[in-house]
Amino acid sequence: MKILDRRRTPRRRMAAAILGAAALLTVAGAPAMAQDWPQDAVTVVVAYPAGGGTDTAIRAMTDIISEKLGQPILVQNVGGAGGGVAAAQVAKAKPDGYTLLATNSTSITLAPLVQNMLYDMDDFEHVAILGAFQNAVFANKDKPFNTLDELVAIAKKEGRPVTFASQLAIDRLLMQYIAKERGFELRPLPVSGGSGAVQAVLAGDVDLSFSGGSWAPIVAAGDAKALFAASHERLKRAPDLVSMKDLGFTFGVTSHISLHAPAGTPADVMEKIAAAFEPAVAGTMAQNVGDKRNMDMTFQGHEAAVATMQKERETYEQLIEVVGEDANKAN
Amino acid sequence: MLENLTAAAGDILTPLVIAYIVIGVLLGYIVGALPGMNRTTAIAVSLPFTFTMSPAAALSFLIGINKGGAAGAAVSAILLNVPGEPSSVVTTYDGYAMTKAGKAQKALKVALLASVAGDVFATIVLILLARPIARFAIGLGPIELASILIFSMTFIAAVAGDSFLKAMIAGFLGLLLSTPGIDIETGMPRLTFGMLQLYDGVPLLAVAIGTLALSEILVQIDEGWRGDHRYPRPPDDTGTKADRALSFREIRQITPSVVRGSLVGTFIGLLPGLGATLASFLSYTWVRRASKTPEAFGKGAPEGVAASESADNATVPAALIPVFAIGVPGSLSTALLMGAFMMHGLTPGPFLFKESGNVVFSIYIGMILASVALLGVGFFGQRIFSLVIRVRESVILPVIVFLCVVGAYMEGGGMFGVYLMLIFGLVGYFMKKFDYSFVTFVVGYVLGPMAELTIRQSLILSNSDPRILLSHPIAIVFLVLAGLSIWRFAIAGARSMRMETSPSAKEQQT
Repeated sequence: MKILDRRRTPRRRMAAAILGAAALLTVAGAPAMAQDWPQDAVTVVVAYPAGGGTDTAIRAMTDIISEKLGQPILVQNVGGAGGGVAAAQVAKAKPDGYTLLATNSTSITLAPLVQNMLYDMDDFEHVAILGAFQNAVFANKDKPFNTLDELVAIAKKEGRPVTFASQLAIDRLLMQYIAKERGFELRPLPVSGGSGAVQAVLAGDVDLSFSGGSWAPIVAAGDAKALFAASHERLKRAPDLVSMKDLGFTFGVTSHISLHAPAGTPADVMEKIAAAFEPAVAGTMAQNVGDKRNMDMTFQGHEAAVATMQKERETYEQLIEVVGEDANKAN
Repeated sequence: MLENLTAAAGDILTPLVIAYIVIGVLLGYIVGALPGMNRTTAIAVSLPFTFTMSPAAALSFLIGINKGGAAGAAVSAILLNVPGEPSSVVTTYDGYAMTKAGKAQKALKVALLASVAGDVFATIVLILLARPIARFAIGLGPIELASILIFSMTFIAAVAGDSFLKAMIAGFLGLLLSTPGIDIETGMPRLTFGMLQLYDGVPLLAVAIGTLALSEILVQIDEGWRGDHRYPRPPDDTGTKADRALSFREIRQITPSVVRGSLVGTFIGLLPGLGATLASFLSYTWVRRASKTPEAFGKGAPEGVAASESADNATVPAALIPVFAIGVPGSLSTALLMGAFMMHGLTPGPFLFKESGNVVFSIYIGMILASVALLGVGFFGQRIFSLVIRVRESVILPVIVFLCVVGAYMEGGGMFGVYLMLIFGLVGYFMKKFDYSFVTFVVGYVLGPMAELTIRQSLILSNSDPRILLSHPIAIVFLVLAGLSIWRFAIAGARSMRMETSPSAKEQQT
């Protein structure tokens, strides 16, 4: 199941080609020239329901983007399968720059590796990175440990597994990797969503939990303590928190708010899109959302985005190799 | 607290803000009344428009939509037998029966009064107890929630209606339907047949619209087709004042139901994830069980409408309690509202009261204003909404089908949701024809995933050792209640089924 179901790909490509040809015939006109772009409203498909971090950030940017492009921006929320439904939809869209995907980068880099998705990373152009989630591992304030090593020592002494509230492929992979490296037994408790993870920690049901940002307010309120950042380097928004590198690990995981277009979108169109998003990310509204949601809203243009995505992908591939057979299994 | 209050009143009691709140409630009411449109969509669509408002005005506006939506859903449930939202399914039982008896105006008034009462009650609870209650609720871990859900599931038997066996079949069908999706423990897709759209489960709204709304239209078309067209849409009232107005005696008659509904709605609302559908359903069951005339339920008892609607509306403010106090949303619509808090620079959680005490009090005042607006909009809008039923069927049926399609498209993942809705329209049609229970079907379907998650969490936490219950007394209480409920409803239900097959036994009993 780890391998992408490749049988699907040729058929889909063919269907896309037929559809594309049919569209050309019916429109009976030349495809929009890149220098004319945009002639029409640009749709940004947000891969999560309205009100989430990615959605809020994108909506805070639309004013500036549409001003720069001179066309309205339509935000369409297509939730489901952790971003998979939206990604599959955009992968099939015409690569004309009028359909973009705003998502959590792991739905492009990691999900096709561990789940049977209907797309893979090369179905997309990586237009820009709009921000970085501040992933960290945290615990209830009353737990008798303050660091990962103290927890591991306690669990080993008591001869029990470390329990961990798990909601996504990314946190499972990270914790399995840590467990493998430090040689302890891990027992993931499946929870639904960030609120489920926070609740499990506050109720004291689990030792640890992972979250992309909802840890910050409860840590600030003194109800929980952050143990370490999930990324290799330290987090921009929490520079005092030790990182995976500080703990002596080779890898750490990152996830970004990333902007994509269907594979084959002309490069100069992508440059125009990126140029319109850059001031929008730096704008007060988006920065405010970043402050409130604990996201680091730092823009990366097309080339940097491609490199970042590629690096993310390689890290996940290596992590899966290290974790091996246990990848994405519960126990 | 008092200086907070005066400062807050200065913020919120301006004509503009009051206008926002009234518009919010009106918008919610309309969206709620339209089958297939729901308040979550309305909030999501309205969120960007609140950027320019002050935080308190924006949140009062959005909460107003939520409140209006919960109340408005009753209108189509009563007049058309089409629930505007899943949480009003229960309202159709007695609400539509009242319409058929020519008491539509009365049913609408009962629903409105019950909605406002439930809403005001839960708003006051929110204001008084936001922090202490939420502290208690967060202490409920998976083991407690699992036992509460097991207890809730046994209620499937309690609402079995005429045929216990058919109700069970429908309930298990609902459970079966809740199984496709990503397995929560292994992350592997289960019964999805390679369709990404099924990774998060079968979309609730598409199924609900299909089985509940579209099937009803199919039945009506079918009746016309077969020649025994008997104008299933009755006149909205008989014209006699007694059937239209609500007498003081009747208000007294429904008061106990409203109180029960408000209590159930408030309690269920503040527990994360259980939701308004379960609340209205539990409240209805409780009121029916407690009634001296349970046989009148489902045939036009105003108490039934009152129980369902008061519980439905009480969940709206109650669901905000965990959001205000600890920053954990319990449902999709509260998650959206929490997003709105953050957009306006407020961080829900313990710090909210310390850092933005004035804003919190402004929101409280705004919520009370929204309750008042609810009463006003509902009262004056009632006549207009009732006009819907004077429109000819050949006009209204296509409109409903259109709204069904739009709703399924918007909420069910595009055309996939529409196809699903059409399939379940047919399923619902045959369920109606063969008299299978819709409630047990929907309840099984809604509770299934939650029960699975919490039960599996409990098994993992306890390492499958039942002794863990000893340290969770609340769980024991609910499991004992579940046992009692199985004994009371299921075994008695099974027994009555056996009696049906042997007529002599039935005669002996009566």
